[in-house]
Amino acid sequence: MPASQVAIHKKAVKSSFESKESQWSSRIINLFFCALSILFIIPLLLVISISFTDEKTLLQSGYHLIPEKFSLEAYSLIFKSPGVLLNAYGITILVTVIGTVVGLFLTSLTAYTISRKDYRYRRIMTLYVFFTTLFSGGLVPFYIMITQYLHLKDTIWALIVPYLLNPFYILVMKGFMDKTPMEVIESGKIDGASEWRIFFIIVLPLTLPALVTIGLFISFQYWNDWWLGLLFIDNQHLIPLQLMLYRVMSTIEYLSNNISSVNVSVDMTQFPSLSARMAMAVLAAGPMMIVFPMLQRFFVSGLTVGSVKG
Amino acid sequence: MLKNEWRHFKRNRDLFVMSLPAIVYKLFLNYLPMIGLIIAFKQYRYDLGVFGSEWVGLKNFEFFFSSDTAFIVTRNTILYNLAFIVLTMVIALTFAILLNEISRKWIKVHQTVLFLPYFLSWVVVGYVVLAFLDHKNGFLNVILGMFGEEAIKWYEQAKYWPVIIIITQLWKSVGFSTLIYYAGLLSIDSSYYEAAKIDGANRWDMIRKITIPLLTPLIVILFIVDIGKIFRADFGLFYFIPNDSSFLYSTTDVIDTYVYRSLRVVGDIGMSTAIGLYQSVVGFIMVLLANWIVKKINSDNALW
Amino acid sequence: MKKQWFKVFAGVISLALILTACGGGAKEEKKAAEGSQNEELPPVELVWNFPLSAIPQDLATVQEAVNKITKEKINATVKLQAYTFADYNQKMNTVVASGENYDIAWVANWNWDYLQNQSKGAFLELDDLIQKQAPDLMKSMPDFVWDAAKIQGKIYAIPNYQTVTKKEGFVIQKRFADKYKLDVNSIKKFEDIEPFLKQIKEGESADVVPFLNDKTGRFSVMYQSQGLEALNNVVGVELQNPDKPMNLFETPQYKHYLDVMRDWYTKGYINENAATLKNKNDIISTGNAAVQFHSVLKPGGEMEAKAANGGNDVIYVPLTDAYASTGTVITTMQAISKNSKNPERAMMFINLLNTDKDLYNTICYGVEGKHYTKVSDNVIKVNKDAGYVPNANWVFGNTFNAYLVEGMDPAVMDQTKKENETATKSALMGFKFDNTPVLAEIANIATVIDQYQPALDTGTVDPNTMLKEFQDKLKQAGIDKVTAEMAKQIEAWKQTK
Repeated sequence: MPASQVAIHKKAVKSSFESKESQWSSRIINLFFCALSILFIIPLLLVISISFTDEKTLLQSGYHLIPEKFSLEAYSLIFKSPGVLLNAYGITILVTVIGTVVGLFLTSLTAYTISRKDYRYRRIMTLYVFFTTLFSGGLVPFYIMITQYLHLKDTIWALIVPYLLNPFYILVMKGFMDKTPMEVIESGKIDGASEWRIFFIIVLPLTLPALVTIGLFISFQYWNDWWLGLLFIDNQHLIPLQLMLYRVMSTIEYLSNNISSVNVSVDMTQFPSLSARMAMAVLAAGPMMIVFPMLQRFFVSGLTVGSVKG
Repeated sequence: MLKNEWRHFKRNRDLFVMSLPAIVYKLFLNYLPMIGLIIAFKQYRYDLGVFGSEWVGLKNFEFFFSSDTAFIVTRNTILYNLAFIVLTMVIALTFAILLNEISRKWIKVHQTVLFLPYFLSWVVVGYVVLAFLDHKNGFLNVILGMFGEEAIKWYEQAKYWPVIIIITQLWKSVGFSTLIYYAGLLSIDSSYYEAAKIDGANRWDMIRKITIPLLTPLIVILFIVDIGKIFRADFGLFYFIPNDSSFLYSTTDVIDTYVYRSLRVVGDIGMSTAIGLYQSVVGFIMVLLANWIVKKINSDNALW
Repeated sequence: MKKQWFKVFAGVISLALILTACGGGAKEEKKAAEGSQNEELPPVELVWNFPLSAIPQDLATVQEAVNKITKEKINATVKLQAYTFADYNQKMNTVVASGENYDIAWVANWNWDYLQNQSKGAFLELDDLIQKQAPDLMKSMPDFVWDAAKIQGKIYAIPNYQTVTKKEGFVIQKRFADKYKLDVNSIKKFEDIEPFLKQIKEGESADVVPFLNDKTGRFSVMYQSQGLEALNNVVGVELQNPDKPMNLFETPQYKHYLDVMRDWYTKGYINENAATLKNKNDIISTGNAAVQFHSVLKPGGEMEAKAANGGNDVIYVPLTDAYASTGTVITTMQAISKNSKNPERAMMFINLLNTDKDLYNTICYGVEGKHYTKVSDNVIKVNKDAGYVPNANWVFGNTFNAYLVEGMDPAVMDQTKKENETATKSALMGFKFDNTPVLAEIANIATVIDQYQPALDTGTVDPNTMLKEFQDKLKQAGIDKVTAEMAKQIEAWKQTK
């Protein structure tokens, strides 16, 4: 039986019925989610609103959903020197793209092997992967490994390599791949396809929604990360976006806690105002908020195995 | 015997090669650095290094177990994690199933919105929560004022915080779990449902008999991973959301924040490694236990 | 097909081997042989770590300018490795714990702790190096500054000479002092300010905070006016009796402070959110903090305070004279790494930072014409948009060598110098507490303080109900052991003196 006979078709129908009753319940559910969405979005609107509020008003009368006194000051301040910001965007995008592509490949590859019930080393491999979610050597040995043995310090790879194989994503991916019917793989084997061919041609297309999901998660991890930059990047041209934001936030927090009784002078007025900090948060999260809905069409057209003919 | 094993190996060779990148990667990035765990039993001196430093036995664990707060923070950590595990699972699963019932057009909107909070760091979320709970200008107190109620000093009243913490955590993370379950739902073969429909099953039956059982492996994985982290807490959540207010420690202090505060002054990596190791060991035992139970019930769902 | 996979396999294995081999290579660390001074110095690169409020965008240009000077004078180039104040501790802890190479690092008692890192063996002993490479350095600062930097009789870091004293007192909004005709001479003790607070409470809007307090409380900034000196965060001595360390939270002064705070809090003089307030600058910057208590009322400080208070004029009302102790001196220093391959050259560089005006002003203000312009010989105007405004001369070296920034009072430097020299010196100058024997106790005490101090020190709770509990918890956490250890170490320290 040739592999092409394994019919793959678009998942046209879900579990829903076309009956009136189901339309009604669908509407109610929709309403429920609309209400929920509002609850979810209010805090975000608040962040955006703060970023557009005049700083003095903010300190005097607190936060409001609609800016009491509208001001573009925060954004104009950030965009005064757009070079640094754009550079940081560039780094973050580059890291996210490379990391997601390579990470997704390695994650699904590993997940595939441990999802294969006929793989002799499946259980031990699962434990080998899972064990790393529980135990870690701590920061210092990890730092020594990256900087002194792998020599990744101050390279873009230091921002990529550590997140390539997240055990949690491997396990979730395995969970998705568990559902791939063994018959499909067997039939591929009978056709004489190599394991790699089966993986690429048969298994990956079958798990597209899972790939998109895990791909999204990996990309978010890269996008949201400042920690690796903080540890491994001294070169100012390689600073990722979130690290810029983190530095501002943490410095304000640190100095306001530590400096008051020390006889050194730090000019606290030079720090970005609260509205500027929120503007940075908006700018840091913004692009992903746009990318996310775009990727969602892959969920909708998720492919699935209809039946195995033959 | 060895020869026998070699024969097995040869048969699994291709799959083994496929798992080789992960084996090498984990060896270098995770397993070799674990040698550093011996710092937990040493008085670490920079000039003597990991191997040269003096062994001190369990001395690095002392500070944690000698304080009477250890019990409270451990209790808080476990209870919060249990609440998160159960509530996230139930709510995310419900959301995912409900989302699967409505038209595709709307799913996009809802799922995006549910996911948005995930993009904000805890520090930023901390400001958002402050906007709601601030004593003077907070939304909640303004609303209470409209009803003629007295304003509440939220950051000084520990009793409200279990609820606040749980809501905040769910708000931020439920979209993430919903997405996982939703993707799991999508990969369920629709022929199952069609067959059930022919048999005259109603929707609830289908959820119970088809959806849940088919999602069980995924649920088990998420569950076991969470169990492994039951002694760890999300530092950002428990530090920035209560704003490190001293009035709230009885209900918001968890192992990670407690250790952070105790070691802020002394900054000893032997002591922090020691507590990390303790959390790992307990987590590992919990995971073994959970996996064992799952295996008893249905060995197919066990992780190993 | 088969062969291919073996190739991949072999490839991965050899990659792993290469990685291991690389690791082996990185281990070798040899100290450069000590060459004779008079010979031509071989070129070296030094790495210098220091923290700033923000990492300057145009650090590269400044590094180039710095290197031009150092290349010529000591045939060395310097890599300027700037971090933010918040990251510095974490970053440097990781660097030293992993044995990474660097030459010079900024160190202090409030960020990346000097004492702790020295006790873990991070720094090189500098006495000999100073003698050989920087004989003039000793004379550029008073002796007591050097004493303060010593740990068990040895110097491990060079202080950046600046204000090394403290002076406690009030910072008061001038407009309120004028309006209510505050007689500053009537204020001798901190509680003397109360009538003024009352006037403000009654006469001003609710937005104005009569007495600003935050979660750290104010007791820790009024030790001196209470006749105390703190040796760490819980143990201190009476100035009258510096041999006998005691629990600061058991003193009558602390009880008195709490009673006054409680009184003020219930009368509404203290901001209601004090016990949970982390960033008091949010209030200060609105200019609504009528009265604050500070421990560093330094010459010329009113200018800085004005900027911090949203441009409102403030007046200083000091309650004490200038006082210098170990803690007020070691707030900014440079140390040399034990792993440094070129400690001599590092020392020469530190020497230049403290003695070479040209180099020092380059690192402080950047390149002339680009980052600043000269107004007169010794006065400059900073170009705020040029990407280099560290605004922290005290991080880099001897601040008395710095150019004046336009608008600064030229007399301030001389006043500061004079105050440094004439300040009352602590009897325990140079004593440092090594907390290694009581680490567990210190860790537990830290969390007890975190739990009780904010509520008590701001007057939010009644000391009559909470103070006893606090003291008991401290005892339980082992404060007596810390006090005893302190006494022991003071005795030992006196022997070496």
